[in-house]
Amino acid sequence: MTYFSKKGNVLLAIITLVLVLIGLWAIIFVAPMIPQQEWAQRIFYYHVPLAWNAFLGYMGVLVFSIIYLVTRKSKWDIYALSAAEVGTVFCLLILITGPIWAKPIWGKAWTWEPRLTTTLILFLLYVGYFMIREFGGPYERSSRYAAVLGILAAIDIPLIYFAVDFWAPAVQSHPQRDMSAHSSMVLKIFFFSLFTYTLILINMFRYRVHVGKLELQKLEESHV
Amino acid sequence: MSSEIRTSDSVILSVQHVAKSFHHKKILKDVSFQLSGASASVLIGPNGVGKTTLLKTLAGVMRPDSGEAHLVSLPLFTENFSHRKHLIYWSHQSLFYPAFSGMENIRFFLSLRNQSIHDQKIIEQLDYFGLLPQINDPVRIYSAGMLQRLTMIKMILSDWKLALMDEPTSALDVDGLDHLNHLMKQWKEDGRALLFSTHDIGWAESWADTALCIRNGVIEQEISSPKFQDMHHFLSEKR
Amino acid sequence: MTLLHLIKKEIRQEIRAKESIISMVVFGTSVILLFSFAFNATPAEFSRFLPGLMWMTFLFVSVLGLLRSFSAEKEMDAYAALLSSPVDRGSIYLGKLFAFWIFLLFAQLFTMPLFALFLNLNISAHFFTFMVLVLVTDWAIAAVGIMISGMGLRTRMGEVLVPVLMFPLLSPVLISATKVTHTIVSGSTLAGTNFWMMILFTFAVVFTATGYLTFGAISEE
Repeated sequence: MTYFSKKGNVLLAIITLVLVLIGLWAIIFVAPMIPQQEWAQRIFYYHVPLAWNAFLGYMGVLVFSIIYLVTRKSKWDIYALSAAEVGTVFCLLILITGPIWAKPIWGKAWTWEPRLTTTLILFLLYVGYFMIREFGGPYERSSRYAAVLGILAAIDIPLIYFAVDFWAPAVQSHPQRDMSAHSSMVLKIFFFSLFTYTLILINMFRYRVHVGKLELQKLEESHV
Repeated sequence: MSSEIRTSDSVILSVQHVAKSFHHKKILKDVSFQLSGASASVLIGPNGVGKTTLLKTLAGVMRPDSGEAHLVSLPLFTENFSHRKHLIYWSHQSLFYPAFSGMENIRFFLSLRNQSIHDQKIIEQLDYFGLLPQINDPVRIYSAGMLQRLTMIKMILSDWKLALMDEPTSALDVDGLDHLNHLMKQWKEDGRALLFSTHDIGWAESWADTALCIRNGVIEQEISSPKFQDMHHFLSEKR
Repeated sequence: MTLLHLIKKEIRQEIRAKESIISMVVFGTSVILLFSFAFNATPAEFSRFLPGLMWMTFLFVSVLGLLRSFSAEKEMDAYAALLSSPVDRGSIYLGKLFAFWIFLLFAQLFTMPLFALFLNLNISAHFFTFMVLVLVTDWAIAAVGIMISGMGLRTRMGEVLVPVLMFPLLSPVLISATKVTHTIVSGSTLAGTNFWMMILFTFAVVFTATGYLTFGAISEE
């Protein structure tokens, strides 16, 4: 049985695709130009939802990891792993889209902007998370270690953010904060984009969970 | 009726539906059994069948995926650790701190059990087992047989109701085996429960009241007062 | 009571084997020497980088010590006896944490003067604050470090995983400790350091609590 043999999954994927295309059209043709930023600003219709998704993913890791440690049911481990993988994909995309915006606006690709820096540290943390999944020994043990690490990483996020935010107060202020000052169309398109990206996250997460369950099934069958 | 009450009274360990996987391979599928006081039980089964896993799980070194167990009505496999003062674990390895002397190791593990024993008593035991000359040496330089003797001293001086012993006869010389036989007899007389694994089914025959025969992750057979032939028969069955 | 026995065991173990402290002191000393050769700068130039370099050094030094912190448990599998004893996992964690904290402080007792001697570290302006800073920062490093090295114990590539997992987790600690040290070295007023001290204290408390609660999942085989 493949992921798309379920009607609900097909429907969800089609709806998401249509909404993404509408969003793309709106961002290119409908969204108003913002003075001084011109086209570069439009990446924020993507950049911010990406960050939102990474955040959702990592919060998912926290919740699923705690449930896994308490119940020790493989299902929750698969959820935690899926959330971690999906979250890290979005984390990487933040690290790519951030500098794309920064280059024309600030003149250099990388600045130690607090949120970008926090994202980079988180990305490194999750590289470690996947390493322990790989090298932690038998599944049950590496899953347990990964769960602890998922919890530690989530607790660390606010501390990293506060530390980094105060560490480099000289860097430019956060560009998104003044977005609400602009026309209501900017906000409408932004929230539309946020919604479609959340849908993308849900699709990816469900697909990864499906694959995770298949992997588990295959592994269990191989022992019989 | 009254005899039934007595049996349930003397149950020291009861294990229900314990399951444990490694790499999603179910080593233990559904293991249930009971041990009563003043009895010895042997775990037999082919290699890799999960005897060590079961002993480690009961000892608290591992946690099972599912299942329950009670040691004198205290739950195992929870955050509560009070049951562990009633059990002691004898593993393949000798479980000592290599840089400490035998004396220090014994003292440390007794202190964790909240038992304060006069040093003189430890020295008496060391003397009895012929370890007195090495009293200040780190156990790192002890031979395998000496380590087994030290383990016996640890068992003698600790209070416990259930012993989990993984291959206790390995690396024992004739003299050491005599010591162990003597202790087995005494422990049974004290009313304690013993659960051990061994490949030496001859030795198992002389001590076991019950043989728990494990295969395919379950206890296939429980043989009471097992004979050598019974156990040999079970082990040589090809399945 | 049990905790006391566990701490005493760790310290006696270290006195016997001397693994952690010696490797930490020797490694720390050679790093400090290398720094003075590699940068070859005037004290004035160097003071800008000194706080960061110092905490980086101690982070690396602590990894070395942490990699040894479970070696005595492993050699004859004494860990199994510890885990089957009537001791809660949280106490095992706290015992290891406290002992490693002492070892790290001890190693710093020898290496810190070298920073003063070779690299002109001057903390005389705020000596007391500096002491508090070192105590808290070391505790934070140990709180995370013992959890991670507890995982490394049963893991392939533990030597790689410990630093890879530890450094990003400790980044707020490194940032905060460096900032406070900067202020101390510059001799200016400490008003700005409250925020950083708060981050350090919060980190130490939160991670100690998490370690206490999750060490069961880390320690079991």
